[in-house]
Formats: sequence, C-alpha cells, structure tokens
Amino acid sequence: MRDLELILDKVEKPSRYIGNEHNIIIKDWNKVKLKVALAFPDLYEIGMSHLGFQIIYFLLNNREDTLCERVFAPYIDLENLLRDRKIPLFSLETKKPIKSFDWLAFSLSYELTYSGILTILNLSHIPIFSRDRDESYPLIIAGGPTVLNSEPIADFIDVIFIGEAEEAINEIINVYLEWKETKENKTQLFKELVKIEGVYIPSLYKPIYEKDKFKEIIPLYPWVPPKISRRIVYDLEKAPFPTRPIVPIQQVAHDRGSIEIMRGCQRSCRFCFAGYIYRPKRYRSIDTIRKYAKEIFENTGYEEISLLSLSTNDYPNIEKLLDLLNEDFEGKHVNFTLPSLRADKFSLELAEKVEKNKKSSLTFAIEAGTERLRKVINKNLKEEEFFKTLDVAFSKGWNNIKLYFMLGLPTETDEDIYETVNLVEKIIRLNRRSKIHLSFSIFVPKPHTSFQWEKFEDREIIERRKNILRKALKRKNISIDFHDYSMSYLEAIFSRGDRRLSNILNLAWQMGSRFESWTEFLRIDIWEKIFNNLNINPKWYTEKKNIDDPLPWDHISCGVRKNYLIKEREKAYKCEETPPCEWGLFCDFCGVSHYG
Amino acid sequence: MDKIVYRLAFYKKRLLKYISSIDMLNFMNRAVRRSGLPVAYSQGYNPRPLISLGLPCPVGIESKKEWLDITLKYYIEKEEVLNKWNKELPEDLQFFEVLESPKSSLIKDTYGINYELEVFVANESSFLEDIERFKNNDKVYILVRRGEKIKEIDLKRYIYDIKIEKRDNRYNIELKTKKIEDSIIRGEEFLEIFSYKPLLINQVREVILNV
Repeated sequence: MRDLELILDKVEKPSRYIGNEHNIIIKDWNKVKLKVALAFPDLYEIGMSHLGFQIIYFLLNNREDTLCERVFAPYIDLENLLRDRKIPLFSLETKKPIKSFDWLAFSLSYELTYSGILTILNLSHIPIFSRDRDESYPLIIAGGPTVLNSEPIADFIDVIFIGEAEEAINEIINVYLEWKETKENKTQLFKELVKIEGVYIPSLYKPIYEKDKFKEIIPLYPWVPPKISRRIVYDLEKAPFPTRPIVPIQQVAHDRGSIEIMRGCQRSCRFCFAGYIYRPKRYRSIDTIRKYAKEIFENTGYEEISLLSLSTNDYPNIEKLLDLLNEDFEGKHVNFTLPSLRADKFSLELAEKVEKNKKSSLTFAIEAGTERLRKVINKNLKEEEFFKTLDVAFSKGWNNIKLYFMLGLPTETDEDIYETVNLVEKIIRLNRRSKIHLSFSIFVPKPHTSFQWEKFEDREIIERRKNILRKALKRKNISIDFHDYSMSYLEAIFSRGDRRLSNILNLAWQMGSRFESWTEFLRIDIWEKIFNNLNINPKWYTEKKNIDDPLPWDHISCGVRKNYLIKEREKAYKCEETPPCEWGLFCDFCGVSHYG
Repeated sequence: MDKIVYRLAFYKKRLLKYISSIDMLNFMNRAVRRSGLPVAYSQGYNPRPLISLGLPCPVGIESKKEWLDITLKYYIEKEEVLNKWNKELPEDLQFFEVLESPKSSLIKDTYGINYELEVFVANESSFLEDIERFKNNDKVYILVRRGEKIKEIDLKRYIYDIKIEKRDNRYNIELKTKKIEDSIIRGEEFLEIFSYKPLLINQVREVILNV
C-alpha cells in the first residue's frame, strides 16, 4: 500500500485509483472459484458512468462462487509511472495485479476506447494478441454494444459475448468452471463455449480478403457455428438489476443513480445503432421501478436518479410513474431526470413533472433541420408540431433550448443546412429572450442499421457546412458546438472495420495513440501515417457500399433481417416514414420477436 | 422544533487522504442521506444538506482530526448522530468526537493546525543547522503561493512550537501552527527554510479548535 501511495502522490486525480467507494464488494480470494477483473478501457469517471458496467459488476458478484473487481485505463501519468517502475496494473478493490485473475472482461461501449484495451493488457503484463497467450494467462473476454462488429478487436480478445448478459453470463461461468477442473487446453474450452448462444470466438474464424477488400469470414473447424446470434433477455422485469450500485467518491461524468425503465426503442430511426441492436422494446413495471428507486436512494444517498430509456415518451403510463415517484420521494430532495424526450407537447408535461419549480433547459434531439431529411432518417417530427411545442415551452418560462443535430446524413445537401439556419432564426423570432444551444455531431454509418451501407461524409463537405452555420448563426444568444471531424472519422473506420484494424490499432498504440475520444489526445496523424505505410486505403471503411458487398459483421446477427434493412433504406431514399413498432398493432417484420 | 448544530471530528487516513475537498462535501452529503439522520437543507432552487467543512485539507494529506458542522432538523442524542453516520463511511474515514451547538463558524473557531512531517534528510548537519537558525531568529521569511499570487510571509508568526525527532534514517518534524487572519501555512511550506531541501515522505495534520 505504501508503494502505491508513493505513486499516487505523483499523479493527477489520484482518487481515480483508490477504490474504497460505498457499496464496493470485496470477497475472500480463497473462497471463490472464479476471479474476474472487470475492465473499462477509459478513465474511471467515464467507466463508472456506464450503467452496463455496474450491471456486470453486480451480476458477477451476485454469484457466491465468483468475485469481480474493477480496473480502468489509467491516465497517461500513471501509465508512465507504472511502466517505469515495472509495477503491474492493479484492481481497485484489493489492489491485486490483473494478471492474477482468471478472467479479464472488457466492457465496450464506444469504438474510440479500444486503445485502452491495449493499455490495460500491456500494463498488466499480458500479451496483447490472443495467439500469444496460453492457458497461464487470464481469459480475455469482451462484451457491450460495439462488439456487434467485433472484427477490429478480434485479434486481442479470446471470447466475445454478443448481446445481453443477464442470463448467458451464468452459462459461460458454469462451462468455464467445469473446464478449469479438467485442466484441458483452451480449444476444449472453446468447443464447449461456442454451444452457448451469443458466444463468438474470433480465433476460430479466418477472414478472407480479395483485392484489398473484405470478402468473407470462414469457420476453421466443423464444430464452429457459421453465424452468431445476439442474446436477448425477453423478460426485463425478471432480469437482475443493481440497486446497490457503487457510489463514486470523485465526481464522475454521470454522477447519479440510474434505473433502466425500458430497453429497446420502437421508433426505428434509421441511423440509430441502439434502435436496432436493443430490439425488441421491453420495459419494467411501475411497481418495480418504484421499488428500485427507493432502494437506490436508501443505498446510495443520490440526489438525482435518471430514468433511462431510448425514448422516455414511449414508456406506457410515464405520467403515472412520475406522479407516483414524486409522491414516494416527497421531502426527500431527490430529482428525477428524463433523457431522450421527443420534441412534442407531451414532453413538456413530463418535464414539468420532474422540474417542478425550477426551469432549467429543454433538450431535443431533432437531428435534422428539414422535414424532408427527418423523413429520410425516420425521425418523424413535423415542423408545425415542433413550433407548437416551443410556443408552449416559451410561454411556460423555458427560455433555454438545446437542439441536437447531425451533419452529413444520407441525401443531405447544403440546402438542408440553409434551412437549418432558417429554422433557428424562426425560433429566435418566436422568443427574443431565448437562449439556443446547437450541438452538431457528424453522422457515422453504423453496422446493423439501415444506413450501414451509407457513406461517411468527406471532411471538405462537413467543414463547408460547419462554416455556413457558423457564419449565419453568429448571435449573442446562440451558441454552437461541433463534434470533431477527425474523431468521427476514426469512429466511422472502426464502426465498419474489419480484422485488419487489430494490427493497425496495435501500431497506433505503439506509436503513442491514447484516449482517442478525448479531443486533447486524439492524434489523427498517427493513424494516417499507419494506413499510408501499410498501403491500406481507409476509404474502404468510410465510402458508400453496395447492397451486396460482403460486410465484416455479416456473421453476427442482431436479429434484424438484412432484407428489412434494405427495405428501410429504400424507404429512406423515397422519404417514406415507418410508423413506430407496436407489437400486436403494427409490425413491420424486422425479424426480432417480442417473446423469444 | 429548533434546528440543532452538531460539530464532529473525523480522521482520514491511507488511501482516503486522496479525496479532494470538493468531493469530500458530496461524499459526506450522500453518507448522511443514507444514514437516515434528519439533516436540514438550505433554501432555494437547489437545496443542499446543511453541512460545512472547515479549512480544506489538501489532496494527499492524512489527517488525525478534521472538523465538520451539520445542522439537523431536531435534537438527536449526539452519540447516535456519530454512530449512524459512521455506519455509512469506510473504516479509514470515521468520526470519533461530537459536540453540540458550537459557538460560531468552523473557520472562526479554528485555532490552528498541527503538522507531522516525515522527511528524508540527505545532509544531516546542514538540516540541524537550519533548524537551529529557525529557532533563534525572530523573523523567517519564505515565499508561498496563495492562489495566483506569490506572497512573502513570516513563518515565525505562524509556528509557535517545533519538535524534531530522529527515526532510523528519517526525521520527524512536529509543527504547531496557528491561524492568522483566516490564513494558515501548509505543512510542506516549512521545508522552504532549508538550504538542502529534505524529501517529504509523509505529512499528517490535525486541526485544533479554540478552547
């Protein structure tokens, strides 16, 4: 411990590494069969803000025969100190070296955290490539939304789990523990693991390239499944949920309690990765949510509890839920927050219920400035309806409005951008006292969506459109921020990447690329240099693809049929809307069943 | 019913010395909310539990005694306040003393801070000479940083007692310092008096209140 203090005295924000949080779980190492180091390949304050990470921590520790401790990517200062002094990376709970665990499991929710995987492996003195690791090393596992296309990290990870872990995690542990007793080699373990739905073992497949392009991926043995399906937990109500989450000591990005009230979304926005990969829509009952809220408050003392879902308005009886929660927490000084509100009047009623007397700001992700473009992406919001909402909002005293947009959407032209300017000016005319914040991200085509074949827009075009907006909207009461192009560019490459990127990632990491999701760290020049040196054209990853092009994630199924995606894409080009998915009322036969 | 103010002393040691003073307030707020103690809240749009900490303890410094004031909505046995709150805190940060109805604000009631500095000394004779010179001089000026400014202060005004003790190859320096016009000196600032600056290995502080 004294050694650790000597290092921590020298780093920025040492509280990232001290553990000791409330609700931390420390188990006796001699009394369990399986020891898991759960890793998030970004800084503590980011990892601890992810509900998925807390869910896995809870699921693993929930088993009597298993312990789970946490590890995060250290900041550069600690990384250098650990390397210089040859101190292995340690877990936060018991400060044990990561190498002494049975599993090192990565929670992956963003492509630009991948270099953190390499940092964690390397600092733990574990070989980076799975082919260089024998049975004496921990088994390296990964899961989370981005593994729906796991090829870019396929060379580093032994076992990838596709989908929702609540049920499958026990099956995987049971198989592993049985294998551990037999002391057989890894192939024996893999043979048993692939029988579990959702398990993908990249080393059992070989990617084939033709003329520098991805062609196909083939199983190496007859017992290897050619296609892997995403695991789905159909009964969310019965799925275990952590109501005793770890309460970070230092401030984190989302410093509050969370309840996942709904999983999946019925709106079918065509660009939305989450909208496709979390189907079908499922929700927890009002009684369960109230019970969880009470437990979370008592176990954490949080001032704020977020009711998480992809589209809050679509939770059945959301008003009743909020009324009951307000009643339950009367006088307890707890605020509830609602993410993802649609830009309609109903949202204002909901916002009033949670904001009570203070009116902070309203956030609407309208994504595109014209009705035409919103039809293309299936964000079905009429301008008339939007302005009615704003009218009511302004009259009720909400003067701060935040709007989220995307640039570079399929079919977008400069005309759409000029129309966006008009839209914002119209809002200002409606209320001269309003303060408008505009946030522009850049459209990244995501695998498993209807837009998986689309182009990631060129830098010049995006910069030109940014300039149009910047110049036209230079006002005191308007603030604008734009997402960094290079960052989205790298995200686009990795989102639709193939296995060749594993090597590229390793080279970039060797050259010092770290924390690519932090503007101050991203060095796109390193990446450009590597693509250049290897003679791989990154355009292949960002350009528009043909419908019949083989895709590196074709062997992974999220449940949605490719024909459905193609149909949705055609509808997009025809500006045709798809109504919300209502089981039993309206079904567009995407392929994901509601009942398993 | 009348609100009651309690004043509690706590220690923080080992890894918990790395909690920053901003995080400390949140940390205490959430712990007291979990404990079920009837903490009173501030008025306004964003009500906060009425808890105040004294002079902030810098990141990385252990403390034998820090003080904190809390206002409860009604009277509760003071031992119960201490016990209930302690249940929500880790073992390296616990309350061990509680007083009722303090005289005034914590900072006003603070007399000074005692420091224990554990240092490694490379040049022993020079170290001892510097200590002697400090003891014999009336005024000893050093430069310190206060926010964005560099200030010259007379250390002798702040330090009213000093003891040194040799332990193996290390020295232990015990300083008793007092608060002057709401300003204090930090333990490591004392090391400015040395011509060969000793290496600071550990620092522990203890906040002393007016009797």
